[in-house]
Amino acid sequence: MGDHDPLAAFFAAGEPAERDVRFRAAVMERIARRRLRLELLARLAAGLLAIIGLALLSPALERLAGALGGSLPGPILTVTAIVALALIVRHWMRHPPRMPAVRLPRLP
Amino acid sequence: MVDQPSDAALVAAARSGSDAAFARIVDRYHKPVRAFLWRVCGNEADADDIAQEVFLAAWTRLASLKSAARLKSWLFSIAWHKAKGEARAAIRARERDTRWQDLRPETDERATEMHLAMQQALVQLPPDQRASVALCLGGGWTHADAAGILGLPLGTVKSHILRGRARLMEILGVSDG
Repeated sequence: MGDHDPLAAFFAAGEPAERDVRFRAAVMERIARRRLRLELLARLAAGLLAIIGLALLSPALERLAGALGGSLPGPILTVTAIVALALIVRHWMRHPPRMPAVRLPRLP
Repeated sequence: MVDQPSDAALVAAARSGSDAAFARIVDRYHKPVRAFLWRVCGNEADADDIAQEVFLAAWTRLASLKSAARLKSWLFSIAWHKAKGEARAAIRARERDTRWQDLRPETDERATEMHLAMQQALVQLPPDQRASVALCLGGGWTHADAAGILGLPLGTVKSHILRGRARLMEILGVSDG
């Protein structure tokens, strides 16, 4: 294509800017939203699996609780349940889904 | 002169979760990808929206990229599939409605008219032909690379470019010597 080629002139004229911060920010924002959705879905799936697992294990847990209930005093069982629940909640609080924070690189 | 990280380094960092690395990939390739989509779609707003989806899809599927050396052609391949599939109907409808409403004030009216005539001419080409022309004549890709990106046989791409160029010249009333 030579200098007088109208196609070359057309293609050269119709191009985006070399650097477009707004475009980059829009892409990174959509990525952050996608990541958040994926992580929330993963958490939801994990929670559902935990519920299903507990439901499946409940007969065995009931038998265990019944057996322990006969030999252990009630307050100890209550404290154990509260501690277990607190540990689970602590784990979830320490690993929250990442919020859509975008860290853009410094331009050279 | 600041050393630019290679595509392989950026891909590896992005795969390990670096937003900054992926943002560098966007910076590096947004221009050619958007230029290609502008030409294929004929509408800059639609094309930019698809371009955002291209990079979003690339981020999602980055693990499936076999060779970082193919990053650019992989992005173009995603762009072509997006443009062809997801937005075809919307783009066509919008082209009909807004093709002549996108006029922006320009200092050189003759250049603007010529540009619009070329844009109009490009949009009139069949999609495969338009994409071949946009890649090879507009983006500087080789025929073989364009064939790989578009998933078309090499001979078809060559034929598309010959016919597309001739058609554009014909529409413009310019002899293709």
